[in-house]
Amino acid sequence: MATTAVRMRASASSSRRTLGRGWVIATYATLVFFVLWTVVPFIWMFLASIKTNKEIYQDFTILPKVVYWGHYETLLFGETAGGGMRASARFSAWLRNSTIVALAVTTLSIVLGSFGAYAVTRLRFAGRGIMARGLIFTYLVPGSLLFIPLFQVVATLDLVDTLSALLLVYPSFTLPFCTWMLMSYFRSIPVELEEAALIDGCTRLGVLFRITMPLSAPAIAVVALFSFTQSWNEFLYALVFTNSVTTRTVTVGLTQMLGEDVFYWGQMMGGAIIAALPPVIMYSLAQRLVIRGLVGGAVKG
Amino acid sequence: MAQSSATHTPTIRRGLGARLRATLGPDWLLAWPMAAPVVLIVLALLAYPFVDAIFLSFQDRFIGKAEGTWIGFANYVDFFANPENLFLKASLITLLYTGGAIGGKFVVGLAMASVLNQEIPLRNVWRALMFLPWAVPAVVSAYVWRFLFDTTGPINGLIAEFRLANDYLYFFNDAKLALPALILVAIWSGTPFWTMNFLAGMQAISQELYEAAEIDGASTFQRFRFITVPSLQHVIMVTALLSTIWTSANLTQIFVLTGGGPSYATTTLPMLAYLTAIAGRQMGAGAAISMMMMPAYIILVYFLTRRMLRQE
Repeated sequence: MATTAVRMRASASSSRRTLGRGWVIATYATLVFFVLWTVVPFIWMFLASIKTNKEIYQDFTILPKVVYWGHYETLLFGETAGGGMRASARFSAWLRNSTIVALAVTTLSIVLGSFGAYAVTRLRFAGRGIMARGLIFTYLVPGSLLFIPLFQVVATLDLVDTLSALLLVYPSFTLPFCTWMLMSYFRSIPVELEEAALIDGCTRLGVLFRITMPLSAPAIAVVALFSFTQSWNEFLYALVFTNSVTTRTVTVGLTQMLGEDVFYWGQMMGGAIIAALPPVIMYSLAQRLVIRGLVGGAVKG
Repeated sequence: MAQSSATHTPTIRRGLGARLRATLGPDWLLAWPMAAPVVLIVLALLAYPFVDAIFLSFQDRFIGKAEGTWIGFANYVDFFANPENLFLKASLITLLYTGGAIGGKFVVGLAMASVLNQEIPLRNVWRALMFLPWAVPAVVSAYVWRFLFDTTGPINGLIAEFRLANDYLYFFNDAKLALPALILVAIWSGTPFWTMNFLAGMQAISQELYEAAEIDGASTFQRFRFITVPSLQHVIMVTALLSTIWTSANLTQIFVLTGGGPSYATTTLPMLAYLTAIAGRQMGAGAAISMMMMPAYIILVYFLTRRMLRQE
């Protein structure tokens, strides 16, 4: 580890030395361009959320003359009626719905995914090969092709316009991926550890909970993060399967804010920032893990 | 171990349990209950709906109507008999949208990864920052760009400031500008995934290759062209296939920004399926659209699965 680090630093510095002046300038110019390309939209969004409507719609200022927190106040504590209920009650209901769905789906995906992954990687049974291949196939087939028949399933179960519909359907995109990720991680754990525990009288389930899962903490973190953010960010199913104000998740809720008010941008951008915070915070905290997991899961299989 | 069981089994009278173990695998009694939830969920939420969609596509089923009637291939034929031929138009738009977005993500992602792979100050900060557009919900990235392209936004502000056009440009209401604008949004939000994969691929390339090329007098561009790009071939293929599937199938940003309009100028196939099945309430006709997309996805997924499994 230390030697590779040293070697990487040495080779990196040598490659920098041989990079011509023109290339160095080009590198920094491109970097500046990409940073602006990535960040300016977010900054513009944030600035709009702290501007008064007059500044957004009339003065067209770039930086706000006064910092105005009114849009956030309306969203979080506002009294203004919207869709028959207080704006704040509505927005917090959306956030609550998203949180419930994302947390429940994440828990379910980790537990069931661990069971499935353990069976495939450690136990010998008929159907193992088909299951492993079937999982990756189902992970890759886009769910948006299946929302029409899924709507029928939800309607048959009489779950249209309930959060349960989302709890039922979201595992269809989180579970295959979670199981797949955990499978490739479980394989990297030496079987000898588990065999020793089995000889000492530990049961298979005991091995899974006391040895395999604790050793897989990094993979479980990645899987948790993916399930949570994918469920939180999901839009199409939530749009099709729910339709009243109180069962919306925050992503669909945002689209409802449009058109109710003539001057919506300030509140809309404030709401969008709040909706984006949970995934952004989680990704920032676990960035290293995510990139390793992302590349491990997607590219190296 | 296999040998010992083979020599011992004939001498022991085999009970039902042993025979089951022989056919279903030694651990089936524990493995099946453990695997069952995943398998059942996948079957119930993916396999069953898939089969159901096939049946649905042969019926004139409406939302709110209990039973559909069997109408054979009428749903399929209608699309081609229709003088507007929306299906063909939507196929073309799907290709343009996906192709434009994939091309853009490839170029921008490769450039971004090349820059982030250099020894630059605060490199980890830039990496984290450039990951952000991928982390935020697609709805949020759609609204950010809707605001940027709005008449009150900075892009129209610049156009007005420098008098580049006679009027504000209504990007998402203009049949010529809507699709390019949507492609731009897709590139912005989808590139980080490519960048991260390219970066990981670049870090796996042996430095000795570059050193050897340098000794041989290869220029910076030649080193990139003849070492970096060929070494990334596998990563490029897998990322491109994954991204093609996701980009073509995703309709969140299109839904939020144009709703498929103006006059179907941005209606991709998934959007057409949504408009037909949910907005138009014709579930059968919508399912037929999904079914017609299916062969393309099965081919993509087949190649991708083969590549991903070969890696193992």
